[in-house]
Amino acid sequence: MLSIPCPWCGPRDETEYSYGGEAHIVRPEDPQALSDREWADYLFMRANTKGAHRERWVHSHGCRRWFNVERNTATNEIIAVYKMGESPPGDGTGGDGAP
Amino acid sequence: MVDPYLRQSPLAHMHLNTRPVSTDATVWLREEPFRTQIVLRGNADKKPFRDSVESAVGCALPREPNSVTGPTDLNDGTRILWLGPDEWLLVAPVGNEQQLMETLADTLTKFHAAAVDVSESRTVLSVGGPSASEALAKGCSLDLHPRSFATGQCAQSEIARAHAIYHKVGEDPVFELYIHRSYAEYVWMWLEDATGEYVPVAEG
Repeated sequence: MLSIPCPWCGPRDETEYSYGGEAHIVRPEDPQALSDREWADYLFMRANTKGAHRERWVHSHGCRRWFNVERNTATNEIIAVYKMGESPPGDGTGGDGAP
Repeated sequence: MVDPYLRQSPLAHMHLNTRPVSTDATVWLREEPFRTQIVLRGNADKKPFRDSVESAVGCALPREPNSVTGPTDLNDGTRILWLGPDEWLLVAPVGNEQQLMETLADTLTKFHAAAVDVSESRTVLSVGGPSASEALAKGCSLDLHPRSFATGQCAQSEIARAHAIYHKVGEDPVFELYIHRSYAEYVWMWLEDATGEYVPVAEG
């Protein structure tokens, strides 16, 4: 079982949370202007990352807030947790962003 | 709100008040039905909103996650439980919902805020006694030890997979669990089972 640190409530068991898929997928400004392929990309296509992955979780049995988690999909290590609207820490590779 | 004469506790059919009370058990259970509960939403970053709520309700909005403000004894006024950064649960003794809702309605018209009477949605189960933490730990993933769960703190979590709001009201310890009414019977029966070992069996 994962222990996920909610930005508000602190570390809680995974059973209190629900998973919300990949984070930072922005809805296109003008869907009418997109081709079917681009729209399908937005709707259905997701990264299948092995390693550091930014994803959304909701603390559904706690404070019911959505937040972002950067998690290593291979080891389940939680690399970072940050609130909605905050920019992700690091460079998305699980490192600290240093070259 | 439900007319008082129609009001029925979700555990009414279990006739809890007719049951024998064990005096040497190290954990006790009690239902405290019909408590006034109001969910308040609003932007706590705005000082006028915080101040208005404080003057209307009589205690400050808690801003620290999982904290509670208000009197230790519920009969002395209204408590506010933190449910989220912009969401709180106002708890008051039985029968205060109408008066509290009217006060809030007058206060909140100036703000982008909401107050909803949810008194009927949950019942309160009190679990107390020296073995209370140990019994609850069987179905709760929170650390209920005093070093991490202090008296006067609240938390939303699960009890035996059912949603619950925990509020530690006493040092003994005494926990109040706010349980959705459709789960109340299940949680009560689970608690009876979990606490069974702390109730001495009568001999003979």
